[in-house]
Amino acid sequence: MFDHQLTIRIPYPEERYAEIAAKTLNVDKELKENVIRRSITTEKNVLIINFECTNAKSLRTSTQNIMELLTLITKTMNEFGDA
Amino acid sequence: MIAIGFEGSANKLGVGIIEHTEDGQVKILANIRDTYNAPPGEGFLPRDTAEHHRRVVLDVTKKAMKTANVTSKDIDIIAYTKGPGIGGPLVSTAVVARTLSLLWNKPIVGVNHCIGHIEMGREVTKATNPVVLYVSGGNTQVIAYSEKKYRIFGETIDIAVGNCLDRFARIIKLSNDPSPGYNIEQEAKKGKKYLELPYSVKGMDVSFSGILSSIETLAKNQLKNGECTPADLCFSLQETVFAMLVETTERTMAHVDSNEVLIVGGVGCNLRLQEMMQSMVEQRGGKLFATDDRFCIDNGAMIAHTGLLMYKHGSETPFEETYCTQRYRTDEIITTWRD
Repeated sequence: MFDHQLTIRIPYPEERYAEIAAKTLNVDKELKENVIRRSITTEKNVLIINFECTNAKSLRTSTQNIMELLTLITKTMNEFGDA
Repeated sequence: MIAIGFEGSANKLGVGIIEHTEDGQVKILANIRDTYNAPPGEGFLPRDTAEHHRRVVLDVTKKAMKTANVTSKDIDIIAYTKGPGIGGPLVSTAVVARTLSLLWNKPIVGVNHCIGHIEMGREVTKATNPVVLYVSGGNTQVIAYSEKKYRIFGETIDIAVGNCLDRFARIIKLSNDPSPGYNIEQEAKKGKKYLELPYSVKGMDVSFSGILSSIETLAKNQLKNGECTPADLCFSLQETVFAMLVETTERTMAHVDSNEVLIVGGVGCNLRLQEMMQSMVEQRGGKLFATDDRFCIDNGAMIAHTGLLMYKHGSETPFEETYCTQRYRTDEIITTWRD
């Protein structure tokens, strides 16, 4: 069933930033749980996003959505991180 | 206390910074907005609008903080629009609010967009307990306060009045800059002939989709044959839909025995609507309150202000619950900050 899989690993300069990204993304759930399962975790300073999906199209859509938001989150941390 | 507010429920991205001083004053330190406009003949699409918000939100935030002359250390809470609105644009904006909340270690508050309009309108105009007409591209409601809730007395049963105006502007290819409604208002001033349109008030509710279809037919026939001008159509549409809104607002005033009216929402900057409402309110010996485009149109200051009111009365949003919701009714909110 869930045979389309993707794992993305993104290193951040500090553990704290990876955790902020994970917490921020985890608030929004994937809408179709019978089509796509997603987990977002951290391992030290690395953000790990894992998808399992029933079809390639949904996997692509969800990945694109997450990457767009993640880019924004990362830019936000870059711009406003040095408080 | 100082709050920064993020608004992005439709095609405007707004960041506002508000201070509530200890002696009870409200100071607007910054209120910056960047609007996404589609080309003439087209409406704004969720995907493009979300992309716009992601592109400008950080610059608008920096500009707001610079204008207010504050750093992250001065800010006490972060407020964002939880809904109602369009999913993509809402989330794109909320994500920044969430990130800053964690980055700066500040509490976060999710604000109902409609309540934001009402509270900002009350603050700017100092209206105490008005009947509120909330008219925009996504919402049309007549509201009155009673026992800890803003109650909806009448509303649209199909599309919002602003949506009706926006879509009509597309039919006659009016520009979306600065807004379709503004351009209709200017065009309507030149109108000479009133063309009859359906008048659909149903009890306390209103309906606009039939009026839109009807004026679309007029544009296809009479306008094409030169029997009327675009200005005549703008004039006729405004007179009809605004009369409907004034009628339901008047009936609400009678129901709740109030003589104050406050107009909020993007359509609220229309001076013809304000003029028609004014003459009704005057006849009843009451008072009309309205604001200009800085506060009528979606903005970040109203979210910051309402977020701060909520926070001071114990309504902080737990981080895991900082999601957005496209449907979020005005009467779902318990107004802890009002008597």
